[in-house]
Amino acid sequence: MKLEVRNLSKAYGDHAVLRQFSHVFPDGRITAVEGRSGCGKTTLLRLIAGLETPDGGSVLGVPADGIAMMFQEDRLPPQLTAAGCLRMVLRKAPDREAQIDDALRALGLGDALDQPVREFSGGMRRRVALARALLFPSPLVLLDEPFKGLDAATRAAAIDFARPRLAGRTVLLVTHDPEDAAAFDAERLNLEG
Amino acid sequence: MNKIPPKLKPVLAAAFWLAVWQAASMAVGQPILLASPAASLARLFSLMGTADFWRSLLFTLGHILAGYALASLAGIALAMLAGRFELVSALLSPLLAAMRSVPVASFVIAALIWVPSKRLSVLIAFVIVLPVIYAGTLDGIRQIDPRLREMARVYRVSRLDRLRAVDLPAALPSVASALSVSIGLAWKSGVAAEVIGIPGGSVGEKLYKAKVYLATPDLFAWTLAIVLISAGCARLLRLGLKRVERIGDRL
Repeated sequence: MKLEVRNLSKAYGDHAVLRQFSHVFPDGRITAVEGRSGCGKTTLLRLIAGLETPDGGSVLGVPADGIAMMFQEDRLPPQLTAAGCLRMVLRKAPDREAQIDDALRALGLGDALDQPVREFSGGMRRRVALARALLFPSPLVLLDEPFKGLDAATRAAAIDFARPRLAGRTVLLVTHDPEDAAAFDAERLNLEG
Repeated sequence: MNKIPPKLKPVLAAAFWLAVWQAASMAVGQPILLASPAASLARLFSLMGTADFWRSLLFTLGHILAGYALASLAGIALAMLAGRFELVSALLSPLLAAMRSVPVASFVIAALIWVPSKRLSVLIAFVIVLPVIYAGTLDGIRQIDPRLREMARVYRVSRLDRLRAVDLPAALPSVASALSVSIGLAWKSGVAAEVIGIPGGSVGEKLYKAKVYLATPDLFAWTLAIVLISAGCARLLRLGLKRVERIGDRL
């Protein structure tokens, strides 16, 4: 079922963030959601994830078994190791540990496998949060500025890691960087227009 | 002082205060007013050789720990309800604030009307500990990061894993602090209740008799026994809580 939002409205006090917004997101494709700060990009993701109640309208086609979501903040339990953060959301599968290990090594976190994430730098935590969203087996992936704060080399490695793992999934990629849309050959949706 | 091994410091500090106690009792020169540590320890050892000593200690230990355990369970359960429903929090807040400020003696005298003196220390430990555990748990619940809870919700994390990885690590420091503080309070209030209610076969009864017969070494020996067993309970509790703390680190 395609992800679709119909006449979606949301206001915070007197400030209307989304007004009667409708869109059908192409199935199995990446959509780069763009627009200036405060135009409703994060609100749109939160409404789709069911974390906010819309003032009006509806969201259709959200999978029942959970959504892979990367928030603007890292949202990692600080006492857990990077692997622990991933185990928390990945149901037990025979290859779970191998998947986790491969992902963390590919993202340059191989030297910090046993360290709690509270000891990580901002960029390291960002990569753990990205790995969590990419490994979580949901057909719907919501990414809110996933490469924010990463240096050029780390960003390139993260994009290389993400590309095959996003193939065939419906992805909403919130970004301020037009290069992100290009890197993923994404459809573009500007919330201001 | 910095050259002394850390493990030796509390032993030396205890030895210093024992020396001060010994010197004070020698200066007073009247064992009936201030028994020496040596006399108190000698009396404690002689009491330890009697079955009655252990029976009394077990009686009081059982009652106080029962009151403490019931209050801990009730305090945690009520705080969880109050954390979820604002109405419960608003309803309980004045009641528990009042419980915190009512003197132990008032509770004891009122309780003597309602329950047999044998069960007095259970009830008193319960009413003294309950508000402390409730407040500590509620404070702990309020430390849980709502953003981590949202993350757990989006990823459909199981309740057990959410408890282990998100709720416990945030709430536990405050709950553990309340549990540690209140174990001492349970002993103080429970024994005080026994001294007033004088249930037969309790430590409180022995303290009361020591007062009546001016048996100061007995008073000090029983007090030492209470201090030691209360400290032992607190130590065991801390060990248990450390194990619980580690649950949240492994996933």
